[in-house]
Amino acid sequence: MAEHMNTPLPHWEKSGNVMWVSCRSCREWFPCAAELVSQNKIELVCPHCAACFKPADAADTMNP
Amino acid sequence: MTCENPPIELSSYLLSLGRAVFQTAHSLSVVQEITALQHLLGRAGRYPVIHVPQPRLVDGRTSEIGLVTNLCASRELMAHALSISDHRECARTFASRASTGIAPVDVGRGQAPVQQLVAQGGDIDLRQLPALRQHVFDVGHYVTAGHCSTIEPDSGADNTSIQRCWVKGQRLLSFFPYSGSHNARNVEKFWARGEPCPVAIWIGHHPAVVIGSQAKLAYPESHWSAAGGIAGQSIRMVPTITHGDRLKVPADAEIVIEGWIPPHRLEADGPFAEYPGYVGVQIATPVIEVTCLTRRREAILHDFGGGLEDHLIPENMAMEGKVYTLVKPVAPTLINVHVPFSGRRFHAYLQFRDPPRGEVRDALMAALAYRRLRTVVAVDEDIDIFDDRSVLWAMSTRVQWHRDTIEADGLTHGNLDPSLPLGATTVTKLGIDATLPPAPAYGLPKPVAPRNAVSDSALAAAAKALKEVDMTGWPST
Ligand SMILES: [Zn+2]
Repeated sequence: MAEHMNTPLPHWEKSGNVMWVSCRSCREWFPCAAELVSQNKIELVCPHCAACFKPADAADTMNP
Repeated sequence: MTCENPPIELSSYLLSLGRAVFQTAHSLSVVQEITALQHLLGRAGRYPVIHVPQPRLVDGRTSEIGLVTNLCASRELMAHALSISDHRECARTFASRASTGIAPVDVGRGQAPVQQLVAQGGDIDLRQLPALRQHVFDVGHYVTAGHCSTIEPDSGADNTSIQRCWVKGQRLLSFFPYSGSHNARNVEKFWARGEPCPVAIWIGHHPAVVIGSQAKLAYPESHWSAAGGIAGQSIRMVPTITHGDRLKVPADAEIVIEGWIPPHRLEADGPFAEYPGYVGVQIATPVIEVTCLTRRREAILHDFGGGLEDHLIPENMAMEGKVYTLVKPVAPTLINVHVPFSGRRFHAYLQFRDPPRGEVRDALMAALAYRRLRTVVAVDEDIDIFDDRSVLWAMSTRVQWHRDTIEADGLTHGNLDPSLPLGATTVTKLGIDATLPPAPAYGLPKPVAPRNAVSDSALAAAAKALKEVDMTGWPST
């Protein structure tokens, strides 16, 4: 999994709030709640190809 | 009025609308095509009710069940459905009708059109419903206008609220009550006891009942009396097949899905295009194990176009009543409220008639306490709060930002705010006083330059000159 880690930003700079996940099967990206990825308990469902996979098995992830 | 009037329902309402209904002659797919029609019509500034008698399912077959969408996209039509002569009167009317209420009445199964057909167990197949997959990124087909009813286990009071439900299988739905919502609290209480939560989802009704059931109430408090008050007649209720008298549903709805929410079972739900106009990301939500599906013989599935006027207008109109109720006691000079589609559910415009010093700021504080609102703008009576340009003009000409704004941190907020920093549990809200300073004494002009104007007689003469002129081809912007 690639690392796109958060860097602490000063409060006047904008930051995002959505994590993106690249599907294990089709590799397309979709937005996902960050806690769903960090907890790694529930299988994600790809909206592009319907593949189900644990967050740890994603092709890639992108932090906010 | 009482229940002696003919019961209000969706199909007879559609028949009453005449040309305000667009019945599609083309076969449209449940995958994005019907929603695309809403997008195109909205861009053209047109909001007919859209009736698709024969939606095309994913496998190419025609659905036995028709679909209606854009039912609530027009403020004018919603006001008509509520017997309000002008949609701009909604705030006061809602506030008054919701507080008076009309009690529901119970009917037996024989008088309940929604239970004409009953499927249980293996006979249920939710995939036969023409549930739409509306937008790019939507993970699947959703029941979007499902009013999910649950029970508060201690008092037995029911709650009903619109929640999106992903059709996950033959007898399985997702269920997304916002955190802190009354349905979410009910589910948590059952789960704390280790019990499944009973649930029934009613779909499709006269829009007065749809909007009436969205009145904002205390917890726990059943919605049916307020809904009857807003609709102008008693809502006819029938016990569910699965839960009996414990959980009732509107007898004149189109479709009801009954089941249980099993304890602590969470599954992925979304992405789904949500009300702020952005995609709601994939999250974990409870599921519903479906036990029974009842419907009318000629049932119509009601759909809300996610994030479109159709989705926002009814809720926003209900919000106007609630905000009016919150603010009026502290600000008697409040005369109207608008929750504009342009601000989704985050903005409200308050209109005042000659407020004394301090009252507008009191009103801003009261309105900002409403969870979903993030920005509240106060204006005078001469500003049209149903025209964003008019409100922006007041903001650009009557506000000194250091003097006329109130910023408050750490307040509760609505979910799905796309601008919220990750991990934030509260938000900063803004109140803007865009009213003019008060006159020094009654009867004197306000101490500011007057606005540009032409006389009424000049306007009448101009209107006469334009009468029956063909304006086709004239630039509109
Ligand atoms: Zn995929």
